[in-house]
Amino acid sequence: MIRVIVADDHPVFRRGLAMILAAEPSFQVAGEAANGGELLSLLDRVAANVVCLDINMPGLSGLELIAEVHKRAPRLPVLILSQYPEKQMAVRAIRQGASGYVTKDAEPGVLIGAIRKLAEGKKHFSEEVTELLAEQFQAPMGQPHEALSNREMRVMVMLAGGDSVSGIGEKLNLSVKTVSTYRTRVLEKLKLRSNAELIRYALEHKLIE
Amino acid sequence: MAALGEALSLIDGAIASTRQIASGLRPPVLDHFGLAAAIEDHVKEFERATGLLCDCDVQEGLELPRGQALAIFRILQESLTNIVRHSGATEAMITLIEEEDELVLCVSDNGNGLRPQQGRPAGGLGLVGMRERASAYGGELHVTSMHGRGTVVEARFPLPRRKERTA
Repeated sequence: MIRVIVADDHPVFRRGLAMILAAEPSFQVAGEAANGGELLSLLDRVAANVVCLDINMPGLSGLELIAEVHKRAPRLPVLILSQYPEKQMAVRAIRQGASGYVTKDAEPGVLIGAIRKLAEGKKHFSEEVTELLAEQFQAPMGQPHEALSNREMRVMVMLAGGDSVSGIGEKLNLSVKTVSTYRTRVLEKLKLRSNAELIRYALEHKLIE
Repeated sequence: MAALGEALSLIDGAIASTRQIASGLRPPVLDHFGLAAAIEDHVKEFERATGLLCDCDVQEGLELPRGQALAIFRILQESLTNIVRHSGATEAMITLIEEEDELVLCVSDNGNGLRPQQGRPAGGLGLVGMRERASAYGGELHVTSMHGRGTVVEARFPLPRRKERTA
């Protein structure tokens, strides 16, 4: 019996996934969480074989949450669910301890298969992510955006996704000046000159779609 | 209830050790490894002691007068203490960043915010102390809080313009 914790802030997706799992004979939903706090609390209270974790839940960095889960339960594999095909985010998620990465537009069968693999101690990544990992391994600092800190990366992806500096400030509880500074640093490190170039860079490197 | 009691005593212990540090001793990490390391260290310890999730991004390589580095560190300590004591938050974000001509420390949380007309004496939050530490180095402290959406403590210090600094 594979016991799965589902952590996602979208109630319909969360319930849908829980129902799909409940319909599979060898799976059982060990618990549901709508945010990071609930997930961590669940870890203390229920036994599970796999955690399905939405990387984009509100609150602070999904990467920090992965690291925290991995720290508290090092042998519990974490499967990241993502609404966006942010493949570089997959690499960072793996660095923080994730064992698998699946986008939410995947077929239910793919998701079930991924959970099963993780429960068996294996990993699950798409071909593209596997390629990225290989690239990382061969030339770890090869890509300019590897020089970005997690926070800079986060701001960069939000900018490339169309968020304004003030919008990012509101979401991250940072002043506009601070977000502007991150933006400037990102542009400098990536040798870009405008948001338009940043979007193109992000598209070329499959950081957004 | 027993678990709650245990959690509270853990937090009290963390605050007590913070007070011990605050009462006089300079943290050795600050002197030997610099402000960034001291903050990261402190935040890690804070996470461990309180269970709050912290997202920390601090700028390395800052060259600050020791007194100023210590003042910033104390503001950070006090802000974190307030978060665990008053806010009901589960997450905090810590930022130390060098902007064009200012050095900024920003500590925010996802707690209850500060209610207006709370009747809590200013000293209860250490705001007066934090403001004094900031202004001792030409800085300003801003505390913003929209009730229910968390609190942001921002300390801004003037820095010589970049060009002058690297000359």
